Amino acid sequence: MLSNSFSIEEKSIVEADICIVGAGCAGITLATELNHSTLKVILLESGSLEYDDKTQSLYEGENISINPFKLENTRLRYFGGSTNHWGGMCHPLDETDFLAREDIPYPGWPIRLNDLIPYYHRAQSICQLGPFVYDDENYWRQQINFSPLPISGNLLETAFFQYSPPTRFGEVYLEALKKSTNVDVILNANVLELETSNDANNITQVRVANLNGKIFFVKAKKFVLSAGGLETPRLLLLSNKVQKNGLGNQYDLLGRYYMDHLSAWGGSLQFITDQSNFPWYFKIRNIVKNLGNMEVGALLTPTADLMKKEGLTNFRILLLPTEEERGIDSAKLITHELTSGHIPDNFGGHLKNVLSELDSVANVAYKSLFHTNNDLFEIHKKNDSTAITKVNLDLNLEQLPNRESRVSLSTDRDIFDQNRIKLDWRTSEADNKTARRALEIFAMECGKYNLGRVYIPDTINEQNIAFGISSHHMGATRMASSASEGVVDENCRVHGIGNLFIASSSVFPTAGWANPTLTITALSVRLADHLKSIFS
Amino acid sequence: MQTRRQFLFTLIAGLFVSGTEASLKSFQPSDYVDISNKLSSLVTNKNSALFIGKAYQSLPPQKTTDIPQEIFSLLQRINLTQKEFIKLEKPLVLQKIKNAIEQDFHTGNVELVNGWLLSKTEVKLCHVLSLIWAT
Ligand SMILES: Cc1cc2nc3c(=O)[nH]c(=O)nc-3n(C[C@H](O)[C@H](O)[C@H](O)COP(=O)(O)OP(=O)(O)OC[C@H]3O[C@@H](n4cnc5c(N)ncnc54)[C@H](O)[C@@H]3O)c2cc1C
Repeated sequence: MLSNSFSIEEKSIVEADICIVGAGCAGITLATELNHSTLKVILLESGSLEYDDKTQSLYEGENISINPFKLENTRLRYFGGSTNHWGGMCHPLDETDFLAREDIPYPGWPIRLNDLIPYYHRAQSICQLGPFVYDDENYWRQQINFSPLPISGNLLETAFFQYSPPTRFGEVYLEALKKSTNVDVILNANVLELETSNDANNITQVRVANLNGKIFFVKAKKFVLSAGGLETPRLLLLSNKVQKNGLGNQYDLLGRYYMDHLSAWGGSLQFITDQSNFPWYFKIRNIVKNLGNMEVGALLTPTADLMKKEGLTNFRILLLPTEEERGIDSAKLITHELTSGHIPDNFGGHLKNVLSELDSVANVAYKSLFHTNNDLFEIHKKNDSTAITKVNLDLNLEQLPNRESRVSLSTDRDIFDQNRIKLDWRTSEADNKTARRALEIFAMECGKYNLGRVYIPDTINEQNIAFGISSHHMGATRMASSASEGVVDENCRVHGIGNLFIASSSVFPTAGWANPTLTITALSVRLADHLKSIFS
Repeated sequence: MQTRRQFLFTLIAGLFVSGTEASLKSFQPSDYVDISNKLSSLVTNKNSALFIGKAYQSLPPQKTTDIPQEIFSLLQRINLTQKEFIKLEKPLVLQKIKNAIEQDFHTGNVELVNGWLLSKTEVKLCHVLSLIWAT
């Protein structure tokens, strides 16, 4: 059923077995999994079916991080949430991501990859992906005639990611939820606070408001917060009538350990041998005809041994083809627009093109260093003019959990007079180390196997690397088996509160290199099963 | 004006007088010229080698500009004596260089030159060439 808070009576109380807060991929997956059950489910969504500025402005916040990106630009507040603009790149977490690691002074996940595998299988079809096969080279050899880059495999290995169409959860699952007899989606319903029993051991109801100022309440036996990786900790912090530091915050962990995947331009690789034998790495989207034209890509990640031996976090290097001309074109466009008094559209993108091509003189110089009538350093150009001679290195790292990296409440307030978020996202020296080593190792491998030479930009050797964001909001309600180490337990239940659960990447205690949405979906399916089992 | 060959002769003669390392004493001026010519013939693009060679030269700590010494250490890297280097056919020399470069990457003998992570052998080669050509 689909309804709207505008038609709900002021101060009324709506009752349900399960109340889900937030209809992004997590909330919609939960609701869809609970559809056709005997449970009465209410899914509260702040926005409507379309984007609107006023609702979106509720996502504004204070960002005191070194990278002062606008919080409202990294998420969307309407039905479907951020899947309305996600890229669809999917990969499960690696086995090592779940384990405690010597160089990470925090426990790993209280669950293991194997615990999630059955749910990953189900998440695959929810995210409209192919079979649950990722890093099996033999499989892709058969499907797309894959052959690996000629590097050793002891340090770096190939991982394959799949592309979701990308699934717009709000569109794909709307009809089923509209027709549901046990799930009621209520739009324009902003949860302001979770109200608790006097001992704060249980949530009794949530207080909800719409933009017209109407207030109502939802009482339920179980509550699930799936309001995204930033808003979920915010709601817990805001619910501070009984527990003054917010819910699930007995050990001052709520909002801490906030992580994103750290992104950086890692320079470029100039090929000196024929790259045409392994195009899968540069195509990004390889169409698999046998599998309904699904798309896969290949990239490089560290082996578990390398991570362990060198105390590195996980990372991935994606090889993106580039043409020298792109930078020059962008430079021309910027100059033209600026001299005529305009800021060009996509100024940042053009500037990046220019910056990434600044090395082109060096690059061209290196390319033609040696004779081409012998096979040393010769670039075997294919006859077609599109042969790739150079690729940009897109580096993305797992951020080391950092207690000082946190989401807290700002003194600024939104239109509901609620404290906005204050984000203090901090990286650490360990992150710089991983970034540098990742590129060094890659460069050495390219040299060892005569693949090419790597240009590493100065920005990577700066004392504090200015990492870019990936808009993957993780860690602020981390999962751990004990309350002293995390906010939620292995079933995603908030420690110390009997009936409150979280479905979000905010529960990730470590982030791996993989984009989070497939794992969020798998955890949501798992939580739906868990809730069903509690009620049965 | 001195020809390049004359200049090199003078330079080497000067070095011998001033008593360079013993190992360099076997370095005959005529060999030197042959070596220089052969080294130059290994690369296609003078500008490229100059670019890397000069970039390396300008990096701290201060680099030597002693050409025979640099040639000597390059030949040591590729495990050839001067005579062998002169006699060996070009493809074989290139193979030697290639092996040394790959070995450098295996053993971490690398150098960051203007952002490029290069093998010490290839950097040395460019450096030597840039010094030779500067004469
Ligand atoms: C540009 C971009 C590209 C991305 N690309 C990828 C990718 O390629 N692969 C990948 O895996 N991930 C990607 N992501 C991340 C991905 O979008 C998120 O991981 C995912 O959408 C998060 O889903 P969620 O359900 O946890 O949260 P959200 O999508 O944030 O959903 C939360 C929902 O809760 C609602 N809500 C919030 N507060 C309240 C409240 N108080 N009351 C009621 N409702 C509320 C919101 O309106 C929203 O609908 C990308 C993100 C961005 C920004």
